[in-house]
Amino acid sequence: MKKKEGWIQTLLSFALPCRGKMTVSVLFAIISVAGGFVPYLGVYQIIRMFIDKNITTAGLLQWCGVCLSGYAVQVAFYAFSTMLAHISAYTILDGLRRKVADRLMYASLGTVMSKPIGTLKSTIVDRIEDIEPPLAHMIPELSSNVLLPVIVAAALFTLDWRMGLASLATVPVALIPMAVGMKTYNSKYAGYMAANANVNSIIVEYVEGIEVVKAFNQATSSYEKFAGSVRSFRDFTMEWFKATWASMNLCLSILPTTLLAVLPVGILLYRSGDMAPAKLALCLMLALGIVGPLVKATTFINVCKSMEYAVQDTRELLDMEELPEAKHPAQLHGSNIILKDVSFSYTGKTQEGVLHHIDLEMLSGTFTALVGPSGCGKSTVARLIARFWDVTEGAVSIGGVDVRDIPLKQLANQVSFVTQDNFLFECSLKENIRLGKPAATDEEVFAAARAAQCEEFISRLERGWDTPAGDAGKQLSGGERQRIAIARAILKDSPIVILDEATAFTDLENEDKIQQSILALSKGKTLLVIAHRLSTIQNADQIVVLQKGEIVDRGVQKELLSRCPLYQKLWQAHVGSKHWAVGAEAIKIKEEQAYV
Amino acid sequence: MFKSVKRILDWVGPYKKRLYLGCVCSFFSVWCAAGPVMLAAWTLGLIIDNAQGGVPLPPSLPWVCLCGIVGLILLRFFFSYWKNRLQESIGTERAAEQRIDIGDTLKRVSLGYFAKNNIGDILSALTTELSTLELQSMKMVDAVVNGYVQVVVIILCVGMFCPPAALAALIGVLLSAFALQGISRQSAHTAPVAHKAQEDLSGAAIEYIHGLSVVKSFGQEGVSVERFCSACRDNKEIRIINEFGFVPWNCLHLFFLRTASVGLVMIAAWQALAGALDLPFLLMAALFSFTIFGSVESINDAAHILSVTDSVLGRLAELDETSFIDQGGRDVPLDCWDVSFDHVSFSYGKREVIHDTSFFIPQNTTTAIVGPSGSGKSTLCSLLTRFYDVNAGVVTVGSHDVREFTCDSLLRNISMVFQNVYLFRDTVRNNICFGLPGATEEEIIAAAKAARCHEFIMALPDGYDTVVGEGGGTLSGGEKQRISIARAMLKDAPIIILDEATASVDPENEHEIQQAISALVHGKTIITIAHRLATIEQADQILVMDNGRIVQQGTHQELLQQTGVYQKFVQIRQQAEGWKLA
Repeated sequence: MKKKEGWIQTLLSFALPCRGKMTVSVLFAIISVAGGFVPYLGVYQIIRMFIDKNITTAGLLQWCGVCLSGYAVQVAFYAFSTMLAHISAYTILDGLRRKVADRLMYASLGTVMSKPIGTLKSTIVDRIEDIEPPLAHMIPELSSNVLLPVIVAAALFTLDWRMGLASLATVPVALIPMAVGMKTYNSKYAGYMAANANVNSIIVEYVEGIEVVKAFNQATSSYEKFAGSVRSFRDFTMEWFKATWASMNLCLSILPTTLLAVLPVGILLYRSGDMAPAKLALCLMLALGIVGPLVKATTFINVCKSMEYAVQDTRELLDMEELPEAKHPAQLHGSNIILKDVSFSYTGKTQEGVLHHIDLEMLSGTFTALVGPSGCGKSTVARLIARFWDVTEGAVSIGGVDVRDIPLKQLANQVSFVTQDNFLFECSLKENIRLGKPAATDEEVFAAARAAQCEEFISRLERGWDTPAGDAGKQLSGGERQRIAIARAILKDSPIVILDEATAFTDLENEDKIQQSILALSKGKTLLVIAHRLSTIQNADQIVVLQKGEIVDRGVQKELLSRCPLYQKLWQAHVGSKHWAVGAEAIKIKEEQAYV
Repeated sequence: MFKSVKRILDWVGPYKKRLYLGCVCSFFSVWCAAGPVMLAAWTLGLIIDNAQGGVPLPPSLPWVCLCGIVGLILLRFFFSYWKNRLQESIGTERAAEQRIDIGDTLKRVSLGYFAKNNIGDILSALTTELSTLELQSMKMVDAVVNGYVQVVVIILCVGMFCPPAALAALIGVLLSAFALQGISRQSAHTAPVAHKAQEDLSGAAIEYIHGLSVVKSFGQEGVSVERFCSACRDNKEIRIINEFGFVPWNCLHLFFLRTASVGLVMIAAWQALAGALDLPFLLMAALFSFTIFGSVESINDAAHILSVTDSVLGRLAELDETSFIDQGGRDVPLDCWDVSFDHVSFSYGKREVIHDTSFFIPQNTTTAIVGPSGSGKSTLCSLLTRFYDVNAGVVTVGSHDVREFTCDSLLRNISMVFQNVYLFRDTVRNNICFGLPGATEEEIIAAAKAARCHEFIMALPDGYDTVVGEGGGTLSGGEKQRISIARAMLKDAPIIILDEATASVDPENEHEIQQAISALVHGKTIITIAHRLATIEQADQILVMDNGRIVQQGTHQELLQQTGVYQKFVQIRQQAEGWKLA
C-alpha cells in the first residue's frame, strides 16, 4: 500500500506545474456532476405533479426546461473540464520530457551510455505517454464518476436511510462471486503475462531467426515450435476466460440491479406509511442513477498498474545523478595526459574493479597505443580521460589540471574522441561537419571534408553538401559515415585525439580511404589509440600492454617483441590473420609465423 | 465507424455464426436488465392507484418483486454468460489462427521476401497488432453492436406503450450516431497526424540520446536540445489541437442523447396529460430516461479504438497478399555440385543490376568474387540461393535449374556463413545442433573445436548448456560468429558462400575466426565475396565485377598481367593492408 501512495504522490508532483488548471478542471468536473444531478429533481417534480394531480402544460415545460439546462451544464462543463485536463496533461508531459532530457545531458556520459538507447527512448516517449490517461482522464473523470454515485447515495440516505442502505445492498451480494473469481486472479494474471511474454519471445525468434531457420532447413521444426506456442498461449487465455465467465457475469448481473432491494423495501416503507409515492419514485430513479458512473469508475482500476510502472520509470530517470562540474575555466599547460594510480569500477566497489592502479604518462605530441586481449580495460582508460566516468581512486589530469576541475565544455575542446559509433544528425552533411566548429566558414568545412576523403562520395549525391543526413544515411556506407565523423573532428582540431575502435575498419570496401582520413586527423596531435590491429601501431612512441586492468609492460614495439610474452602472442596472432586465406592450408599460417 | 465494425465481422470469418448467436443472447440479456425497471414502474403504478383510489395492494407484492428481480438477475446471468462464452474468445481464437497462418507463409516464402518486407513490420503484425485485435475486436463489437441492440430493445419497450416517445428516443440515437461518425472521421483524419507527431518525437529522442556523446564531446549542447524541445512542443500542440477537434463532436453526441432523454419524458408526460397514456407507463418512461442511453453513450470511446483496429486490419490484409516463389518446386537429389550462370540478367524493380552474366564454377573449387561496392557481388549470391528469381537466363546447380527446386531442397546444398549470425535463445549446444538435428555429442564438440569455440564455450558458466541471450546477447560478436560457423560445419553442405567483409566484425578475434573458416571450407565448392589479397591469390578462379557485369575472369596471375579494374583493386588493397599510423 505504501508503494502505491508513492506513485500517486509522484504523479501529483508531476502535476504541480499545472496546479491551477488541474484544480479548475476538477472543479468543472464537479459542476458537471451537479448539472447531471438536476434532471433527477426535475423528473421527480413532474411525477410529483402527476401524483398530486396538479400538472399543467406550463409546469411540464418549465421542469423539462430545468432538466435540459441541467444536462446542458453537465455536457458543457464536462467539455471544459476535459479540455483543461488535456491542456495540462500535455503541458506536463512536455515538461517531463524536457526535464528527463536535461538530466541525461548532465549525467555522466558513461551512465547514460550504459543504458540501451531503445530503453531510454521508450521511457522518454512511450512511458511518459502512459502518464497522459491518468492526468487527462483519471483526475477529472474519476473524481466526478466517484463523486456522482456518492452524492446520489447521500441523497438517498437523506430521503430515507433505509432506502440508502437498500440501494447499496447489491454491492456485498455481488462481491461474493467477485471474491471467488478474484481469488486466483493474481496468480492467473501473472501466469497470463508470463505466457504472453513467452509466446512473444518465440514469435520474435521465429521471425528474426527465419533466415537462419531457412538456411539450415529447419523451417518445419521451427514452425512447429512457433505454432505450438501460439496454440498453447491461446489455450491458456481461453482457460482464463472460462474461469472468469461465471463469476464475472454473475457479479455484473447483480451489481447494477440496485432495484433488487430498493423496490421491495420501498413497497414495505410505503405500506408502513413512511414513504409517499412521489418520494418512492425519486428513490427508484436515484437508485438507477448510481450504477452507470460506478461501473465507469471501476474501469480505471485496470489501468492503474501500467500507470504505476510508467510513473516509477520516469521517476528513476529524473533521479539520475549529475556529474559534478567545475564552474571556472582552468588554466591548462600543454596537453600532457597523466593517470596517477587510477583505479576504476562501475559499481564503486574496488573488488569489482575494471582498472587497478594504473600509472601512465602521455606527453604532448606523442603517440601512445593501448593493446591487450579483449576485456582488459583499454577502452575504459580512454573513456576516463574523456570523463565518461569519474575515477574511483587516483586522478586523471590534462595539462597539469585534474579533469574533474576542468569544465566539461573546456575538456571537450581538448579531446576528440573518435569511435565506430558515427552518429549523424538530422541536418545537412555540411552542417554535420560544421558541428566540429560552429564558427567555421564553408571553406574550412570543405577543407576538412577533403582531408577526410569525403569529397568524392558527397559529390556523388544528388544534393551534394546539402543532402540531409537522414536521406543520405540510406545511401552512405558505414565507412562513409565514419569519414564524415572524422571530418568533424578534423575541423574541431583539438590537441588530443583518442581513437577507440576507429581503426577496426569493419567496412573493408572503403578501408583505404578511412585510413587516409585518420592520418589527416592525427597529424601532430597527442594521440592515444586503442589498437585492434597491431600493424597499425608499430610506430607508436609507447605501446602499453594491458591485462585484466593492469599494465603488464610498456615500451616501443621492438622492446616489447623481445621481452613481453603477451605482446608476442598478440603479434603472432595478428600476423597470422593478415596472411590467412580462404582455402589455404594450415601449414601456410605456420610458415608466416615463422618468417616474422 | 460502422464500416470498421463490418470489417471486424469480416475478419472473424468462420466464427461469424457464434458472433451472431452471441448478439442474440445479448438481446435477451438486455430484456432481462430492462425487466426490473418495468417491474418497478408497474409496482409504482399500483402504489399510486392505492394511494389515490384505495385499490388494495396485494400483500405478497414485496416478495413478488424480490423473486421477480432475482429471477431476472439469474436469466440475465444466463444470457450474458452465454454471450461471453460465444463471443469473448473469438478474438483470441482468430488471432491465434492468423498468427499460425502468417507463420506458415513465412515458412514457405523465399528469403528475398524479407528484403522486400521489413522484418520489423512482420514482427509487429504478429505481436502488437494482432494483440490489439485479440484484445479489442470483441470488445468493440460488443460496445457497438450490443450497445445498439440494448438501446433498440428499450426503445421497443417504450414504443409498445408510447410510440411518439420511442420515436423521440430513436431520433436522438440517430443524431448521436451522426455525431459518432463525426468522431470517426475526425479520428481518421487526426490519427495519422498524431502518429507522425509521435514518430517525430521518437526520432528526435533517439537522435538526442544517440547524439549526446557527440554534442558533449564537441561542446555543442544547444543544437540537439533545441530540436528535441521543439519536437516535444510540436507534439504537445498537435495532440491538444487533435483533442479539441473531438470535443464538439463528443458534446454533440452526449447532448443529442440527453435531449432525447428529456424529450422522452416530455412526450410521455404530454401524452399522459392528454389522457392517452397511463401513469405507470409514464413512470416507466421516466425511469428509462436515465438508463436508456447508457450503452450508446460510451460508444464514443469505441470510435477511437475502431479507427485503430481498422488500420491494423488494413496492414494485415497487405501481408496476406504474398506470392510464393517456390510454387511448383520439387525435391531434387543432386550428385554433382557444379554451379553455372548462363546469360543471367536481373533487376530490382526497374533497375537492372546484373546484365547478361555467364560463368561456370566446377565443384570443389574456390571462386573469389571481387569488385567495388554496388557492383552486384552479393546479388550473384542471392540469385544462386534463389532469394530472387532471374529475369533472363538460367542459374543451375548440378545442371538443374534452381527454379526446379523448392527453397528448402535447394538450400540443403548450400551453407551461407556470414549471412546472419543470429543465435537462438537456447543453449549453446542446441544452437550448434541446429545445423544437424540429431547430431551426437562428439559431432557437436568436434564442430565446436574446429570452429575454435570449444575453449570459450567451456569457460562459460554452464559450458555447452549455457543459454545464449536473445540474439546472442551475452557473447562477443566474434564468439557468436564462431558458433555460427560451428553450426555451418555440422550442416556440412557441399556449397559454401562466404562474405569476407562481415568476417571482420571482431578484429580482436580475427585470427580465430579465420582459422575456423579454414576448417569449414576444406574440400567444398566455395564462393567468396573477397577483399583480402591472401584469399584472392589462393582462389582457383576470380570473377571481377563492375556495374553488374563480369569484366575480368581468371586466376590472380593471369589477371595481374591485364590492365584493368583488377590491377587497380590489388594496388589499393596492398596499400590498405600495409597501413600504419604515424
